[in-house]
Order: sequence, then structure tokens, then C-alpha cells
Amino acid sequence: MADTRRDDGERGRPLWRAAALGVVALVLAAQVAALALGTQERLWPFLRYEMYVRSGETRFSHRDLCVRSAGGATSVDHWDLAIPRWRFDHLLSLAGGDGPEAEPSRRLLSRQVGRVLGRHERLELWRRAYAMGPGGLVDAEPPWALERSWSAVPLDDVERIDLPDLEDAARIRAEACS
Amino acid sequence: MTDGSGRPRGRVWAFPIALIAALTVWIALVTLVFPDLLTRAARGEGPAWLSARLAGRDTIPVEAYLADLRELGIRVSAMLGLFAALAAAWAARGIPVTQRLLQPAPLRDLGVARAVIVGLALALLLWPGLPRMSLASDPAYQALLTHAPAGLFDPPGALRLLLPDVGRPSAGLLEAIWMGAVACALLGAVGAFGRLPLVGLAWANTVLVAHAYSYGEYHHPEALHSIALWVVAIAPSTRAFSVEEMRRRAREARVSGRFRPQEGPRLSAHARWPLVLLALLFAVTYFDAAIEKLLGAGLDWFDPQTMAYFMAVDGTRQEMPIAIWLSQHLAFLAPLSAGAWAIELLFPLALVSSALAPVLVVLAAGMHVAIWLIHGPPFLQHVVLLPVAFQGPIRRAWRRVRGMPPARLRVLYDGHCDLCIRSMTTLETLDVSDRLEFLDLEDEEEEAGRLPQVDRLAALARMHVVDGEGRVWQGFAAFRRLARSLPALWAAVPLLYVPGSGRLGPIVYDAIARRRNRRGCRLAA
Repeated sequence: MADTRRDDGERGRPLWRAAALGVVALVLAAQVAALALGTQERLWPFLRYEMYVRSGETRFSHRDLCVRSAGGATSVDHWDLAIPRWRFDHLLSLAGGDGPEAEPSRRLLSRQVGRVLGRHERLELWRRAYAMGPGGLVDAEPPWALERSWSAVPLDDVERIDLPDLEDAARIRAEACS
Repeated sequence: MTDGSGRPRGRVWAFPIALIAALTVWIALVTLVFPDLLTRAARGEGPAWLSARLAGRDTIPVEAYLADLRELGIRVSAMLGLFAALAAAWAARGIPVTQRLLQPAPLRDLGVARAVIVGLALALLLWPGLPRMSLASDPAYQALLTHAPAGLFDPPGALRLLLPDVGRPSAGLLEAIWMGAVACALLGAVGAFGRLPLVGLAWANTVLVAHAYSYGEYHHPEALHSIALWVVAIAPSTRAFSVEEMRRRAREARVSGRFRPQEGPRLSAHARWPLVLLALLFAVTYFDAAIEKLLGAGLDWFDPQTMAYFMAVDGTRQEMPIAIWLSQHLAFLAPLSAGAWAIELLFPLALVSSALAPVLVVLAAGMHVAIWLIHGPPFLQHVVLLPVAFQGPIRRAWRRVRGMPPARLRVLYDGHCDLCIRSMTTLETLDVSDRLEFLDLEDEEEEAGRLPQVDRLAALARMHVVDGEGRVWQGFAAFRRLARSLPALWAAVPLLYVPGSGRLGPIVYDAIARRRNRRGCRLAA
């Protein structure tokens, strides 16, 4: 007995049924290719796993940096600079160092804080470090320590400063994330 | 030879056999042929094109290529093996892959999936900042990215494909795309204007996500949701639970002059494959994550120190006390690591076992919620999409748990009245859980006229609802009763119960009912 619930097009036209199978096959193939090729794949950029590689490291130590105004009222995050987190971490490590890129990095941070506050204050770079031991995290509440402080230049004196383009983004990213 | 259902056995096993053959050929290629080719090419003995390619990259030793090839081989083999195992499991039950994908199914399941998937996109577009669920949906974040140094802009192929000849998009263009996405999501969520708004939303969403990924930072919660938006845009998802369907049914009623309820749900061959595809994508994703853990960390994944590291970094950086506490109590972490891996590895079983599917869906959703609460990374998209992709097995499990379903509510209507026809059409479209039974007061053969507790003239004047125990609601109270019973109307329930609505509601209802009478319904005669 015919099922009266079914409308005329319930089984679909053969061509459309074949097209549906094609869509399913294509999506699965693209997904498998994206997963298998990992970070090399640039066409289907929706799935990436870049974790799980650092495992079982009992002597690992980590360092966090943050920059804020001297009063502590304002801090700058990577959103304020419109750059990825790894790039921001790299910028902070440059600003905390003594290399040739330290001064431009501090000026850039000054400018961003000035933009956020509308005025300039003395800026401070703070650092905290924690480590993993055999029993897990060694220091659960690592204290922040002042790494460096500098006076921000007046807002009017600062030209637009762009971050220098990176020659080896992958290397710096790996360093910033390690 | 046939299986139990009389279907030729050869057809049932065609897909699994083809996949196993493909797997065998692939394994032979990556274990025997490709490594040999690479090694000979490195010595200058292989094909000229490969030798030339390797010669240009002499800083990378051939061992690195072989290691990459080994990983590629394992992952693709694992996926092909997974597909072959799924196809074989279905074949063992006499279900060919084509039938598993194209067997006619109720369109309303697909309609509900569309409403949820598009509704989620709309929620993320309009409410991105607070939960930080999807930065790509945040217009402020998109505008910020346009100020990033030009050298950081490295667009993925998806952006170049969907936004050709534009180069780096400006903040104004991105804001226009965001506004277009909101408009399309509003129309697509209610299923108005066919699939065009859905295609627009899928396009805009992918452009926004791809642009957000153009600066070296990637997140994967957006992945399946972005694909799901394309899937519901391609499939006939607006043919049920939609304004389009409501208008079609109202048109039918106008032509015939009266409302006739549908006998059972509308079926379509294209209602099943979109949901099975989503379920397959979940299986692929989780299974690959399980493989990835083994490839990346080996058995170290099960060492609690590994998870302690992730919790220490995330917890300290985001000041999450649970993660910090757990990173100091390794005894709790070993079962968490093993449990997460087991859920991911076994998740494909949800595609072959109706009994296991709801359990695995709950476990996977719980895993995402735990990751969110403990670590911080949000996976709202996965938590919402999981029950959508597996709504069939979940509904069956719910019926088993609940036992006998509650009796359907009987809605009495005047089959010749324009307003009643429109109201019943709307209710029928919203009744995705099949909770209502429609009885025409004008049909002498139907039960409506014989319900002793219902006064026929009163029922013609106001909507009446009768439950399984014979209790009667009429007018505004009947509307409240319906709103409580239909999940699609639950959002309106608080509004119907605000203080004062008990008095105001009947006044508004009666005013509309009187207007109905003046528009020539039979009661006025």
C-alpha cells in the first residue's frame, strides 16, 4: 500500500541525488585533506590542531608579560594593537630586552596606550614566571615582577609606527609560543 | 544472493569494498612507492620533476619529507579506514551507503536544523563580545584587523575564492558584509525568501572567518559551523518549519477554500544527507583528534603531566582557579586525559548505534563544556551542533526514556474562516514535535462536533484546545496552553505570563476575534 504521507518529490530526481552524494564526498574529502595536510593547507582553513606536541615536560617553565600604565589603571592587550597574540607576546619580549628593536617596540606600546587613555603616562612592563615540577604546577600564584619601565613620549610627537614586517613569521611565532 | 530485506548483497557491500580497495592501494603507495621515489629522487635517480623540486629545497633533508609522508599516510589511512568501517557496519545491517544518505526523511528535521544553525550564527553576530565565542563575528575585531601591519596579511584560499580581486578588505567593506550577514541570518532563521539569504549568510560568514584567519591566528570552533551553514544553504532546508512553508500551506488552503491538516510529515530524499554529513564531520573531527594526540604526543598524552601543562598555561594566563588547582593535582588528570581520548576515538560509533549515539553526544558536549569551564577555549558551536546532527537518535532515546508520549492537544478550528486557516497553518508549521491534532468544526464526520464538553457556537467564536484528559482552554488561555506545548513558541511564554497579561490578553484576543467575525466568517452569518 502506498504511503500517502510522501509527496511526489520525496525520492528526488536522479541527477540531484547524484549531486547530493557528490557534495557529501567533496566536503569529506576537503575535510580529510585539511586535517591531513595540517598547517600547510591554505584553501580550507577551518581545522588546525597545533597542540598536543608539548607533552610530559616536567622541567618546563613559562613566562607571562604584560604592559600597563604606571598607576596600573590601564593595560594593553593584543586586541588594542590588532595583532595576533603570538605577535603581541613577541613585541613585549622585544620591549623588555636591550636589542635594537626594543626602543621602537616601546614607542609603539606608548602610542597604543596613549590612544586608549587619550594622555600619556609612565609605562611599565611586568613579568611573572612559573614552572612545572614532577607534581604539576610549582607555583600556583606566581607574583608579577616589574621588568622595565619607561616614560611615554607625548602623543603629538609620535608618528604612525607600524610593526616591521616579519621575515620569518613561523620562526618568531614558534619562539613566542614556546 | 540477497540480504534479509531482499536487496542484492553486492550493492550493499559495494561502497565498503571500494573503500577497502582504496585504502589498500593508498597504504601501498605511502609505504612502498612514495618513500622509494623520494629516496631515489634525493640521490638524483628519480623522476626529473621530483629531483628538481627537491634540489630547490636542499636545506630540508629527505628524512623530513619522509617523516611528513609517514604522518600523512597514517592520518589519511585512518580516515579511509574509518569510512570503510562505517560503510561496512551499515552494510552488515543491510543498509547501503546511498540509502543511509538518501532515504526519504522528514523535512522538518532539516528545517529545525536550519533554524538552530542559522539562529546560532545570528546570536554570535549580534552577541560576540561577552562570551568571546567567535571573534570572527565581532565587527569591532574585524575593523581592528584592518589596522594590522600589511605584512601580516596572509589570506587563506577561502578568502581569495569568495572575495576575488578585492585584495585586503577595508573596514567599511567588512562592516557591510557583517550587516549583510545579520540581515541574511534574520531571514534565514525564519526561512523567508527561500535559500538565497542562506547562501548570502554562508558566504558572508566564511569571508569573515577567513579574514579573521588571515593574520596567523586560527581557532577551530568555527569550522563545523561554517560548513553547516553551507550545507543548509544547499539542502532544501526552507521547505519545513519556515515562513516559506507557511505561505505554501496558506496558498493551498486558499485554493481549496479550507484548511486540511497534513497527514504525517513531508518527506524528501534531501532531508537526510545534510544531517548525516554533519554527523560524519563530527566523527572525522573527533577521530582525527584522537589520532593527532597519538601522533603528536604518543603515549605521553596519557601522562597527566601533559594536561597539567595545558591547564597551568591556560589557567594562569586567564586566571582560572579550577585549571590552576587541577594542574597541581595530577591524580585527577589521568582519567580526564584518557576519558577525552576515548570519547574522541569512539565517537564514530554514534553513526552506527542508535543506542550509543545519545550517550556519546552527551559525553562529547560535556567534554566541550568542561574544556570551556576549566581551560577557557569556548566550543559553543560544537555543543549546539551536536544535538542537531544527531536529533534522530536523541529523539528516539528520549521517547524510550519518557515511555508513553503525552496525549496530543486537540485544536478546534473553523475550517472555512480565513483567519483560522492562517492560524492553523502557522501552528501546524511550528508543531515540529507533532503535539497537535487539528479538528475541523465544520466537518460533520470529525470528532470535533461530538466533544460533549465543548459548546460548538463558543468554539466557532474563540479557539478551543482540549487536552488528553478532556480539559478545555479557550481564547487567550488556549493560546497560552499551545505556547507551553510547542518548543518553537517557548520564547514567547514569559511574555504571555507577565503581570497584567492575564487581563490584557483576553481583551486583545477578543478584539481580534470580533474583527475576524466582521470579515465574513461563518459565525457572523
